[in-house]
Amino acid sequence: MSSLELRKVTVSFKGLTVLSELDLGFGERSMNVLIGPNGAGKTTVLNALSGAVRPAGGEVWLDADDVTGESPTRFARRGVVRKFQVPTVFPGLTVADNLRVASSAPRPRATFTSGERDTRQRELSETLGLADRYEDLAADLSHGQRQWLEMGMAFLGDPRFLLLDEPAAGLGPGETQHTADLIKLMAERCCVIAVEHDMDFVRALGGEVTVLHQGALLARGTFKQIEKNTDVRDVYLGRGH
Amino acid sequence: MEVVVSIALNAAFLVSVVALVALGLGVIYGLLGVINMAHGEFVALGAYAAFVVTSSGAPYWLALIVAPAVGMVAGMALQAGLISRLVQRPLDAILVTLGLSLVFQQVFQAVFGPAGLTVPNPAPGTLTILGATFPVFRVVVIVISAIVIVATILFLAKSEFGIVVRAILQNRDAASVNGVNSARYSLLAFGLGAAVAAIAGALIAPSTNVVPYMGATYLAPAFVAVILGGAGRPLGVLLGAAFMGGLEVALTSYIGPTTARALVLILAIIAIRLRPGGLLSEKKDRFA
Amino acid sequence: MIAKLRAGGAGIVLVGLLAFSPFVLDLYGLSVITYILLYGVAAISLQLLWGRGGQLSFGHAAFFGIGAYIYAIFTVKLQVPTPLALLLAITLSALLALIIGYFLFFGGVRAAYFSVITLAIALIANQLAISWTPVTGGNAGLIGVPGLSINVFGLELDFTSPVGGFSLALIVLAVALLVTWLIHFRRLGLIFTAIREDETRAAFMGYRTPAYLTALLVISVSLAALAGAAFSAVSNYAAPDMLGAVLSVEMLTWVAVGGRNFVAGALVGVVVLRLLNIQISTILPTSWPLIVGGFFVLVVLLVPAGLVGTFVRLAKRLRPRRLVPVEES
Repeated sequence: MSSLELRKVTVSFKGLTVLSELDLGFGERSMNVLIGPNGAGKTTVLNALSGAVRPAGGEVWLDADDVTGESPTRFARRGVVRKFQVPTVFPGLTVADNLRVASSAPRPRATFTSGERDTRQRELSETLGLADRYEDLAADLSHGQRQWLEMGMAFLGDPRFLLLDEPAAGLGPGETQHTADLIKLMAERCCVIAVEHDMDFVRALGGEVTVLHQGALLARGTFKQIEKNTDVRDVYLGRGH
Repeated sequence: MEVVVSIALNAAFLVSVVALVALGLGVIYGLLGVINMAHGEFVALGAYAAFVVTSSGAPYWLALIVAPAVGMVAGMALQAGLISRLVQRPLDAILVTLGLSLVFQQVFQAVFGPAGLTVPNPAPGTLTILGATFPVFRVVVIVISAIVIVATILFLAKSEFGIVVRAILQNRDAASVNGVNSARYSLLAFGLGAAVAAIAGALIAPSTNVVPYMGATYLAPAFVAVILGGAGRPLGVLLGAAFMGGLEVALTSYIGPTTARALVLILAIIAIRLRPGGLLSEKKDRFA
Repeated sequence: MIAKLRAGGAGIVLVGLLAFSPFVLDLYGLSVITYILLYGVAAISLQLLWGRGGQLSFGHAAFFGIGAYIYAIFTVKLQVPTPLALLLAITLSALLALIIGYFLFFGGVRAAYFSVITLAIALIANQLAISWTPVTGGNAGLIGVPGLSINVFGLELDFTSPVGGFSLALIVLAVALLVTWLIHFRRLGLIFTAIREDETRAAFMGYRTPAYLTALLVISVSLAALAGAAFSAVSNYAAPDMLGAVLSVEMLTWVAVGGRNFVAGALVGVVVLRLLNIQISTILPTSWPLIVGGFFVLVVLLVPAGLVGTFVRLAKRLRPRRLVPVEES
């Protein structure tokens, strides 16, 4: 069982402490959702877990390795793949080429031959719902399609940990369901850690929900348990989905 | 002892000039994001202005007013006519200024001829400072440069113009939402940068041959000074200029000007490698 | 797949057609073509770095000139056999590129800063060439540089005659086209494009982007140095103007005019501007730098896609549309 942990991690920006000696670990469950009000530090947690931000204090551990301070590139090579809130695909490349670039990226697990890669890519594009746009430029895709493409690209990186930052952001109702299905599919192969605001989406994903508040861990449990948790409700008073 | 003082004074002289050029460059780059490859030609413009002033019989000191005026007009014309059209394409803006640099050099050559022109030294003679003899005029240059630099920095720091300029530097969209007319400030900033460069040209003119491509000599160290200092940080730029100029002078007396310049550039590249954010930044700022 | 074959075919046809030049052109025409081909390879090397990698080199002529000088110095001053000198020109330049890449790319230097520093490098190379007279021949450069002749394992190839020089240039062009074709149509080309599009994103995927950029720089510089060394071998001299800012700007003009996103653009740019140069030099001999500068400014301002780029864009618009079902949003 792989584990990705923050141990007493402190992160501050220009004098403002976002995370303060936070202990937070992932890996036991394959589906994890991170929620919390604005400013709780959710994105910062993802940043710290993927090397995008170097903690001012504390350590980041991947299994038995101390990976604190390594670059995001190294994190990716170790199998911690991050998908950003704003879909950042390569707009000038086709869907097919985007997937190719992703599948050629260095990764820790077994590699496929190039023939297997192409088949895998095609199948993946069907699963993603992008089979008919295979040779189109990524720039021509809709917002939702770009999200799926980027998830596909993250998935092709064969991650051990897939970090998703607000995967449902900007999606229409039909697209949201497809996205949830895709994420659940990916959770079968790796450990997913998703940051989300949309409560319906969080409920659809299932798995373990972690609530963050002001840079500290507030509660952890299934969605039902969290729903009933009075601390969580206080903190969320007024927040819908 | 005199050798050290002599080197220090020469260094101060070169640093002053490079700092002036770098400051103007830094303002333009910091504000407009445009690397003005033709900046050296503003320096040459100032030098040629000084030539025109003195050869028409007027006293040299008039050039210190004419040169920046001419520079300002040229800078604003450049910004209005060309650079403003390339706002969306910063790399192309650099390319255009590179081409313009060549064009300007050719125009200077066509108008003034390729041979070096001289501007008479308005303050001949030498001073003895701490045992070292040093031309009076160079002292004048150092003093005037210092005044212009301090004035420019104060202007940027305290004046309304300067504050708005720095706001635009921080966040252009926020500034425009607040009603700031970026175009007008860009115009003035470019003009200011060019004017300062022209003053440098006028100041250096009596000490050197005025030739069409003289700007290039100061452009490279000025650029590196800006990179070393970090864009938009006038103090950093000064530090960078001090580094470039001071080191070059110190080395020149041992290994000759060309090798000195090459060595300084290599050292600067190493410095950039170690401190990508500029000399005054913290160690290795991360990606995100 | 089709694009790959089409491009490869075009390259082969081009080289094939050019091979007839010695039979159809007089000596003067042949020498013009020879120089155009070598400048063309220099332009291709710049286009590789700029169009494919997104890094604009302001001083690329430095690498061309360094290749020329290394070849010249080793053959004239050190009596090294010409093929070895050619190899040295390439490998030493590649080493230089490796060092530059290490300091700049691995140091996080990109885009504008990179461009300025490459210009500084060109200026310094120029200054060195002019002042280090005992080695470089100073302002006059080195003359009497021998042409390339290979005499190894019983294989005798003499490139010293005008036809030989042309053949050398043609071979160099073929090499350059092959290299760019290989890069463009393999995964490597895709990765370079991805890095150019969004380097941060590529890095977040696990690609060591500075390493890729340095590799591209090494390839680009090696091609430029090869062209420069061949130039020196064919023209039998090496001079400071092979290194300086004027040639660098000219190279930028070739690629900008021709079309910075296409290898063909680099070639088209060289042909157009070189021919223009020849025509104009007869009428207004000293105005060429002014015209180059002015032309460059106009092209960048008004026709940024270049000739080939604009042509491709128009061709796309004129092609009949495919019948695609209307997409729901």
